[in-house]
Amino acid sequence: MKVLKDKKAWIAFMAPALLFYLATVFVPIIQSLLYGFQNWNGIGTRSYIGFDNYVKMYRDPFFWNAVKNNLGYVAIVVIMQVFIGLCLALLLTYIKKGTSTLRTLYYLPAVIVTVAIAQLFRNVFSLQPQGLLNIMLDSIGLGHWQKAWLSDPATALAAVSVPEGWRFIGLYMVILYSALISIPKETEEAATIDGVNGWQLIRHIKLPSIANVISLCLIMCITGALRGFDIPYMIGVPGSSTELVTTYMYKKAFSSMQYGYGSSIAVFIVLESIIAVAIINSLFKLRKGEAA
Amino acid sequence: MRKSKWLYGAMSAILLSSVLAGCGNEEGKQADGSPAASQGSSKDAKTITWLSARPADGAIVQTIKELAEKYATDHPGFKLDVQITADRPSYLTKLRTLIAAGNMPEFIDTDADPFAQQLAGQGKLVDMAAFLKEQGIYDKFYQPALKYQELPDGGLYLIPLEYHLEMVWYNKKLFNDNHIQVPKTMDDWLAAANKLKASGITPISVDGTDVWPVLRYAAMLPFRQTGNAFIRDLSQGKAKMSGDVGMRAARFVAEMGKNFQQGFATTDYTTAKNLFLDGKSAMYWMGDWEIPSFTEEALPAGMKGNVGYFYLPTTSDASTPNNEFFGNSGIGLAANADKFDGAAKDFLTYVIQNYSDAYVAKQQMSPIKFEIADPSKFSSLFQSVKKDMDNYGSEFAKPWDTLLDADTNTVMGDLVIKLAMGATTPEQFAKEIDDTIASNASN
Amino acid sequence: MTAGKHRFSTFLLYAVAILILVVQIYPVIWLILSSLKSSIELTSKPFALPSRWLFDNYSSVIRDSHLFLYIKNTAIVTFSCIILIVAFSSTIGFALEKMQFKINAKLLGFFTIGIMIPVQVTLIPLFIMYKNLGLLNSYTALILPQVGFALPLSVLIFTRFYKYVPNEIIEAAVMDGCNIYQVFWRIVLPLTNNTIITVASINFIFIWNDFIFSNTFTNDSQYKTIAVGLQEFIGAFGATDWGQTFAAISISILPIILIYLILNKNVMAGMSEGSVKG
Repeated sequence: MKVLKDKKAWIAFMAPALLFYLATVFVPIIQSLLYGFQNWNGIGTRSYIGFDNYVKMYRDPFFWNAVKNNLGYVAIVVIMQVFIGLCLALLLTYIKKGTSTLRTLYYLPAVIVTVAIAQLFRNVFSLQPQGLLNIMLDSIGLGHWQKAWLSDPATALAAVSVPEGWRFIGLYMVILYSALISIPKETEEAATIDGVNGWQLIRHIKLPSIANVISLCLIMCITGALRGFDIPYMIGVPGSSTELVTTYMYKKAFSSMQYGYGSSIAVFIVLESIIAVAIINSLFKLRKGEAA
Repeated sequence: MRKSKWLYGAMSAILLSSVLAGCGNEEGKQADGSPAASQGSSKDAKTITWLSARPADGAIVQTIKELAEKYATDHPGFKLDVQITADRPSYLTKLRTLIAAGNMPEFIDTDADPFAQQLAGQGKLVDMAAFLKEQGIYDKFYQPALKYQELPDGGLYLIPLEYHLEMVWYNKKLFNDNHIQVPKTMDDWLAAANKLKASGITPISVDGTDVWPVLRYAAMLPFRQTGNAFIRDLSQGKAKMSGDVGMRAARFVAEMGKNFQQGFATTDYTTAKNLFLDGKSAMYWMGDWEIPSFTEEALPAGMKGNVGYFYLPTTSDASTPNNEFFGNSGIGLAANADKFDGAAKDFLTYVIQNYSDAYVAKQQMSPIKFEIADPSKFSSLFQSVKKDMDNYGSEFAKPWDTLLDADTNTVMGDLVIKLAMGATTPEQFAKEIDDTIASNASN
Repeated sequence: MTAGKHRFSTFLLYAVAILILVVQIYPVIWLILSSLKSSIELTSKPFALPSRWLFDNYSSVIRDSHLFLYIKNTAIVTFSCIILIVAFSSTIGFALEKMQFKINAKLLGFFTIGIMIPVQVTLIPLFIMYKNLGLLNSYTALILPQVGFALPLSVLIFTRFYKYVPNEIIEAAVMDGCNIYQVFWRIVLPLTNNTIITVASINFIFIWNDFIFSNTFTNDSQYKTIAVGLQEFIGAFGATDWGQTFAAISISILPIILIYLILNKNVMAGMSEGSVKG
C-alpha cells in the first residue's frame, strides 16, 4: 500500500513526538551516561576517570547485595502483579454479575498515594505496637510466629516487596481482563465444541490468545520492579537487607555525594532491563513457535 | 483531513500554551503576586528566597515571617519567599540539586557537615563569625549553640536559630514499681534497662527510621571518655573504630540495642513517642523541643505527674563534666556569599537583632542569651530546662552524622542500626566502618 | 456438571472475588478511619475503630493547609500530561507499527530503552536544562519530563495493540479513497478506545503519585502537587502528624474515585466494542 509508505505522513506522525522524547528524555540520559565516567560530588569540579566507577561497582559488595535483593523483589512483585493479576482476570471472566463494580473497586489501591501505602504497611507489619498481621496470627493461634516483619533481616525484603506487589494487582488485572474478553467468541466456541473445557480451555486457548498482552505485562512489571524505589526507600530498614539497586544508586548520588558513581549504577540498571526484555521476548517467540 | 488537522492544531495549542504558561509565570509574578526581583542589588522591589527544611507552622519559620513583615513595612517592595521542604532527605536532595545547577538561593538551611564545609571552602557561604562580630552580637550567643554550628575546621558559616538539650524522659511509675533509681552512670543506665526488660517492660522506645536517634547511642560513651576528640579523629582517619574507645561504644550499642522496642528499625518518630506516652515504654530519649508534649496539660490522663527526665549519665573515667551532654542548636542558617549584599544582608541584620525576643515570646529556647521576664507565661518544665541550660558547660556532644563524610555517614547509619538489631557484631561493625573511612579518605 | 455443583462453584467464585475485594478495599477504609483518630490512638490501637470520631483533622486540613491548591495543581499537571501522552503515543505507535519503514524496528527499540531508565539519575541534567530554558517553577517543568518518560511504555502499548488491527481494514479504507490521515483518524483510532483508556489510567496513576519531579522542579508552593504538599504535616525533627496526613489523603482520593465511577461507563462501552469487533 503506497499510503503506508508516505514519508511525509510518517514524519508528520513521528516528528513532533520524537523530538519531544529526544529533548526531554534522551539528552539528559546521555549526560547522565557521561557522569558515569566522571568523578563528581555535585559541587566541585568534575574529572574524567574512565571506567573507574564501573570497576568500583564490580568490587562493591554492597552493590551486589542490592542486586541480589532486587532480584528477590522482582520475583515477588511479578508473582503478585502479573500472576495473581492474571488469576483475578480469569476469575472475573467467569463471574456474570457485578463485574464492572468489582473491576473498579479492585483498581482502588493503585490510586492511593505512596505515602499512605507505606505508612499502612508499616503499621500492618509492626510488632510494637502490634500490627494487623501479628494480630491475625495471634487470633488464629499462630502467635509464636509474630515478629517485626519489616526489620527482621529474614523477612524484611519480602515485607517491603508485598506492598508494591499488592498495589498494582488491580492494574494488571484490568489490562489482562480486557485482553481476555476481547478474545473472539468464535474461538472459544470452536474449542468447546471440540470438547476442550475448563482448565484445558484456559491453558491451551485463552492464554496463548493473549500471549502478546502477557508479555507486555511482564515487560512492564519487570522493568518497573528493577527500578523499584518508592516503597523500599520509605519503609526499608537501614542495614542493607532491603537495599535495592535504585535506592542504593539514589543514596550514593544524593546522600553520599558520589554522583558519578550513582550514574554508573543507573547504567547497570538499564543494561539489566535490556537483558530482561530480551529474555522475555525470546521466551515468547519460542512459545509462539511451538503453538504454531 | 480537516479532522486530523484539528487534532494537530489542538495538540500544538495545548503544548504551546503550557510552555507559554510556564514562561509567563517565570518572568511575571512570584508566589504572592509581587513583581519578580531583578538580579541586581537594589534594595527596593527585592524578593529574598530562603530554602528551608523547617516545618512551616513551627516557631522559627513563624518568627522569621513575622520579622519579614515588619521589615517590609519599612522597606516597601521587600518580600521574603520561604520555600519549605519539611522532609529532611527530600530537602537535601533538593538543596544539592539546586546547588549543582548553580541555583543557590539567598538563604539556605544546612547542618555543619562536610557538604557545608565544601561550600564554605569554595567561598559560597558568608562567614558568619565575621558577620556576627561585626554586629556585636557574637558574644551574646550561648557558646554551645555557636560551637555546634562550627565546621570541622572551626569556621563558623551558619547561624543557629534554636537551642535544645536532649534528655531521657522516663516513666516514674515503671521506675518505682521496679525499684529503679534515676541512673547516675552509664553502667547504671544499662543495668536499669536490662532490669526493666527482664520484667517484661519495653525499656526504651526509639525512632529507628530517622537513624540519628540510634546513632546517639554510639556517640555516648566516646563523648564521656574523650569529649568530641574521638569523633573528630575518627572522621579524619586519626582514630579507628576498632580501637579501645570505638569498641566500647560499639559494644554499648549492641547491649543497649536489646532494650529497644522490637522492630525499632522501622518505627517512625511519632510512633516511638506515642509508645512512651501510652505507657508502653519506660524511657524515651528526645530533646526539649518535645516539652509541649510533656507538660502537665498536654500529657494524657494516665501519664500526668508521671514523667521525669535525666541527662546523659556519666562514667567513672569521664573527661567531660556532668553538665555537658547532648544538645543541639538545630539546623543552621547559611547565606549565599554571592547574593549577600544589599537587601539580603540588611534583612539578616534586622533579623539577628530582633529574633531572640520574638522567638522566646513563643515559649522557645533562644540561642541568644535570654532571661525569662514573666515566668507565668512559661511552663514549669520549660523553666526547669532553662535553668539546666544556663548551667550548661561549654560544648555539646557533636552528632556524628555532621562530622563524617557523606558516604561514611550513610554507611554508618546502616551499620549502626544493624548493630543495635543484633544483626552484626561489634567487631564486624568496627571493621566495616574503618574500611569505609579509609576508602573515602583516599578520595 | 450438575446444577448443584454449578451453584457451588459459582458460590466459590463469588466468595473468592469478595475476599479479594476486601483485601483491596481495606486500606482505603483503614485510611479514612485512621484520619479520624487522635495521634496516640494511631499508635496504640491502629486497627481498632476510632474511639471518638475526631473530625478535627479534617477541619484543620481544610482550614489551614493549601490542600485544594495542591489538588488543583496535581490535576492540571496530570490531565495535561495524559492528553499529550495519548496524542503522541497513538501517533508514534501508528507510524512505527503500521507504516512500512525499515527504520521502524530500530526506533521502537530506541523507545523501549526509555522504559528502563531510573529517573532519579536524570534529575540534575534535567534541572540544569530547565533552568537554562527558564522553565523552572511552572507546570511545564513538571509536564515535560513526565510526558517524556511516559512515552516509551505508552508507545509500546499502542504498537502492541496496533498489531491486532488487521491490515485488511486499512486496505479497504484506502480503496475507498482515504488518505493516511483519514485512515488514522477515522478508521484506526476509533478502534483504540480501550487502549487509550488503558494508557490513560496507567499514566494517571504514575503522574498523580509523582513525588520526585514535583519536589525537585518546583520551589514555589504555588505549584506544589499533592505528594509534595503532604509534607506540610511533617513537624520538627521528623514528627509527622499522621492524622492530618491521612485526612488530606482521604480528601484527595475523593475526586479520583468520582472520576473512576464516571469513566467506568466509558470503559464498559469501550470493552464491549472491542469484543464485538474482534
